[in-house]
Amino acid sequence: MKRLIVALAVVLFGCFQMGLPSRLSVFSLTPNYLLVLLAIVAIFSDRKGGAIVGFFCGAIEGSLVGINLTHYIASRVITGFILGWMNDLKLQRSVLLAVLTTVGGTLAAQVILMFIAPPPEIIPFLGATIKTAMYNGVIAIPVYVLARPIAELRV
Amino acid sequence: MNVRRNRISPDWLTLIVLLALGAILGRAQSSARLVGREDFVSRIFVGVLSPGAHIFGSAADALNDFSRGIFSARRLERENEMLKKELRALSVYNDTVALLRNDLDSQRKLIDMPSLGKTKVYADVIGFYAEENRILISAGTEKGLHQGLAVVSGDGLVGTIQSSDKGFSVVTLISSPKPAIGALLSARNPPSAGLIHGDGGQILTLQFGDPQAAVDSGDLVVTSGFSEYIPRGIVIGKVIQKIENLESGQLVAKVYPSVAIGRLHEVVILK
Repeated sequence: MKRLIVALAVVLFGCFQMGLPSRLSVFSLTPNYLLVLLAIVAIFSDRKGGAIVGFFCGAIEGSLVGINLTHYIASRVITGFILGWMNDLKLQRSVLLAVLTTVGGTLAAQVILMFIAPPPEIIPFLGATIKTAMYNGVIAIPVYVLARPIAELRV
Repeated sequence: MNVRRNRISPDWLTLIVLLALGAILGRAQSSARLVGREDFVSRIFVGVLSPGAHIFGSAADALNDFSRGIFSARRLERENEMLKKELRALSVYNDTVALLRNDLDSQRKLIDMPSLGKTKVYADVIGFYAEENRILISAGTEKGLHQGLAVVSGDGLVGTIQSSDKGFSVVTLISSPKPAIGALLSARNPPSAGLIHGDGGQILTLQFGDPQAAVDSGDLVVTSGFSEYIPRGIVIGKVIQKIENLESGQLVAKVYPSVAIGRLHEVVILK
């Protein structure tokens, strides 16, 4: 059941990623919905689950961008794996943790991507990454609030 | 124990498999791009996500428009009012531009107008007395003007000088009942000639000397030149009606003048 919900969420956030970022940009800040989903799912998952969700998030993003599919998949898989691994630290789940995880996850995923597929201009890329991470941190709050009851279902 | 320690954990194995799968898919994408096509993974994802993305995109646009409409209503109303005012101001400006353009055309016509063997003296209209069929112009005896000279604009005959003094002259308009001015229909051969005068209104009356004269609506009426001071060929107007009086044997034509007196600013006196 939970896997099905996560699969639907991946499709839903893929739709968001394809149709919304330019429409919901604020002061040239654009969110990355798939990275928000990856971070929130990883909070309630483990290394394996995080890596699998990361794989699909990366595949969708790479497909939408049209290039660097391998790099997107690799960066998201590694990020999901690391975020899932953090569950071993047994941190108290909270909105703050969700925000920090999302911001950190976004930065980590994009920095990994930057190393394996270097963009033409590093500084602007990092600037855009920081802005996206901040926007993602805001979006993570409602997503976490909605995801928490679903994650606690006993099915 | 050693065998257990060396075994790769399932999580790490998953990571490696997913990375390998990613590399394979990336290679497929690169190969497809080389032949100018989309790879199958991209086709699937884009195909699956497009309808949903379109729906969410449209919904976001609608929501954005709605919220903008609510929060910007006051500002839009103010802008609307301001634009309406600007439109009204622009309309007045356009009218002014049209009037100035007419003035400019009139000036050009005055400058280009042939002198008809006379000397041209330019003057401004400084007074207009519609009831008396008179105008006052800003040139007088100091420029050699005197009674009887033809006063014209770019469109045609305005009238004749009634009296002149230093610095100004009084002009009797062609709409005045007196004096009558010699006129003819330039397009007729032989030209039908007569005397033209006003009736106090806008329309002029041309009384032909010959009751059998050829005349029709649309004929151009010009000065006859049978006067010492008014040369031949100055446009007066166009025939709009022919009236035959069988009892008195008279033939007259009603003529619409070519000069709009109310819009005159400058005139030329043919000296």
